[in-house]
Amino acid sequence: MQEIIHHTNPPGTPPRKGGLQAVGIFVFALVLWKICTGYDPSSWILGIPAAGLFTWFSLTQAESNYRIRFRALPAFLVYFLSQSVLTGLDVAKRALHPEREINPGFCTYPARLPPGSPRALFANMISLLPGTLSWSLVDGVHKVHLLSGHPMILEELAILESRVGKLFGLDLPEEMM
Amino acid sequence: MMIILDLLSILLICLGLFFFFASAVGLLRFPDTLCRMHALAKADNLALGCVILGAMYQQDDPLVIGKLFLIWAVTLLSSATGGFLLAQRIRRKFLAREGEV
Repeated sequence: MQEIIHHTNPPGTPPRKGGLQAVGIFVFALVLWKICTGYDPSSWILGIPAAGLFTWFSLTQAESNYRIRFRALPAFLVYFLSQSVLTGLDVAKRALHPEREINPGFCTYPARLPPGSPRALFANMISLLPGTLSWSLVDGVHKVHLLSGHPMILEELAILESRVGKLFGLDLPEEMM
Repeated sequence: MMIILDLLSILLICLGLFFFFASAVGLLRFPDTLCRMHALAKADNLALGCVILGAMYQQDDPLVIGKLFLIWAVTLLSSATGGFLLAQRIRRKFLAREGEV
């Protein structure tokens, strides 16, 4: 198994919590509030304190040591959306095909991402690939339910894992040893 | 121009309905609970995404567009989490039956 290269945040050290980040979270909270409450200006009486609370909460109470790199976000979203479309088509095809192309089974995949939000996000994203569903995550091993086994599945999971890693600024090779 | 937007929006919503239909068929036809969850978790997200994208073209108000997007984002989050929780529940039943717990 490969060594993971940490660009900035090794596990255990809290991420840098600069003022810029606080402002970013605060503005994000204000936008959410605006979307939910509409144009009535009097809603800010509650909205500004709520956004402040949101900022305080996410800066001090969130447990994760890993932050999403916003520069990596667009590429990840493109990958996410294209995979969503492929996955939806795949499931629709299997559901509507006269002879069900289903041969369920399991496979295991040892996690290379560090515990915490990267690993959790990867577990959730497994359910996004065509034909795979995250079944359990015990002792750093993902167990994956397969709609029908095919030989390239471990390679595809490794690509997905390295994509998730890039989002958090972690370098994983796209293939397993 | 308006006609093109209208057509695009009709097309997207129909596509969304098709995926909802496919996921419902999958829910009925797939052999066991885990396979059914594949149908629910995947085709539904795409279907909702298509319907919401189609509905966005019919809106002028940026706040409503934002709200539609938010609905999709929150549904994605809850369906991923809900799917994982359901899998845990099935897993515990499965292990209990196997006598491993």
